[in-house]
Amino acid sequence: MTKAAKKRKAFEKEVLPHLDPLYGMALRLTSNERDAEDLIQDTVVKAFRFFDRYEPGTNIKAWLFKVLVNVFYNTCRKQRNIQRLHTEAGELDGHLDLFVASATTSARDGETQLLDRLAAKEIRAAMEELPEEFRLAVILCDVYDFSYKEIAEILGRPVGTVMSRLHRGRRLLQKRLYDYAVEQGYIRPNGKKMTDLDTYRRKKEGT
Amino acid sequence: MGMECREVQGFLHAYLDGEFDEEERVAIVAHLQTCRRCSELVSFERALREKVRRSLSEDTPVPDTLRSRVHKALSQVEEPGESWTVRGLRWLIPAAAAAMLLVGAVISKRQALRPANVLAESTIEWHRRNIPLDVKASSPETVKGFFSDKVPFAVRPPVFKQRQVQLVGGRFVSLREHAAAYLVYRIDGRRVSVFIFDPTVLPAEAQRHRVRWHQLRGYSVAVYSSGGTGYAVASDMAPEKMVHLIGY
Repeated sequence: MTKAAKKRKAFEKEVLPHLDPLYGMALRLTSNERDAEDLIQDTVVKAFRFFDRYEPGTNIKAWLFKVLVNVFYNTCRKQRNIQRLHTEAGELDGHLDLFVASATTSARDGETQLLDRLAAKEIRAAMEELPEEFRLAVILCDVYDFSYKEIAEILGRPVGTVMSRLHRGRRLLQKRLYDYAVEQGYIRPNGKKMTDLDTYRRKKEGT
Repeated sequence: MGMECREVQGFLHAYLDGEFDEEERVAIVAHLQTCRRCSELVSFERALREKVRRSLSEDTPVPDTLRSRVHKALSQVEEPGESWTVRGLRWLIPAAAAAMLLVGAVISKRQALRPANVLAESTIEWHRRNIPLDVKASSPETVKGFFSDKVPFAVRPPVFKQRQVQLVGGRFVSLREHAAAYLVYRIDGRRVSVFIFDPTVLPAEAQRHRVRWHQLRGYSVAVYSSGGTGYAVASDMAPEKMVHLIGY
């Protein structure tokens, strides 16, 4: 085997086990398979070229995610039409209180829990609407379980920035889900769960 | 020292994300036991986070076409710049020294790429993060019971010969994307992390009656298998102490 082939083999052995999570992240970033595949190919090639910059003994998965995010920002990023959610922090916290109260009441009463009624589809949609910098931080933390330090490394931002993006991202997500729960009649805007079916139907007919 | 509601709410995410150290965790847990509002908030945030995780986690496997595309692309990449650095150096320094340097480089690189090292890395990563435990108990039976429906293999918490080693608890973790049981022990105030896994899915070079030692960034990791189960023990103890601890 030539030296180059050996090197490639070593690289493949180390990197290819992470291809599934990388592809998952690529899909989340690009929202379509074609772009995700291009992004993966560019990422793997770039990682191979710069493999000597990877510090052995550090987390290879985090390093690969960093390369992926970089490639995405440099080449694949399209101006996506995101409806930005701009809300004041105070207002978000107010919603949180109502949301917590409703969820807790339903849990205590042993009914179908409020959170269980939110469909995965709805959560994904709410996630899509998050501004990208918040969305990335939340996904890296909640889906891929990276530590704050690793997320900071991947995004090339200080840990403090990561923490505030996570905080804000989650609040925005909660606001969006809260609004949805109100729209669907799972909770009343004043925070009480809607339990009376007749009232609910009357209200629906009236609208 | 106790925490106030405002502090709890400010650091709620850091706590739930496993960024707290032992002391901070104890402080927040103590507060949550006495404050209903904060405890409801934590339950809500935890449940929502779980929901988000589940809704977003479904992984689409990489299509075969993409795999072959990646292979093809890699085979077409020319040798990266590293090799010429070594070749260049050889002209600059005496041949013998160059040969030594080359041998050293090859060994350290190989060392770094071995799968067992990758496993050791993951264990250190978990050990370092000091994440909250799902079950807190000093009885091995309780901890064993907790894992019985969570991992597809029997979790037998190791019994260490030294009497001052105490089981603290455990939680479910994923080690290189495979289910593993994570147990925390305490010895003289120091934390020792023990990971129990299926050695067939994590071919961690966890060979019978043989311990593999790893020294990485000041941590010691011992990987071995016993009774068909894989074990990895990680701590910041000196290697001699670790050897003494696990009895090898």
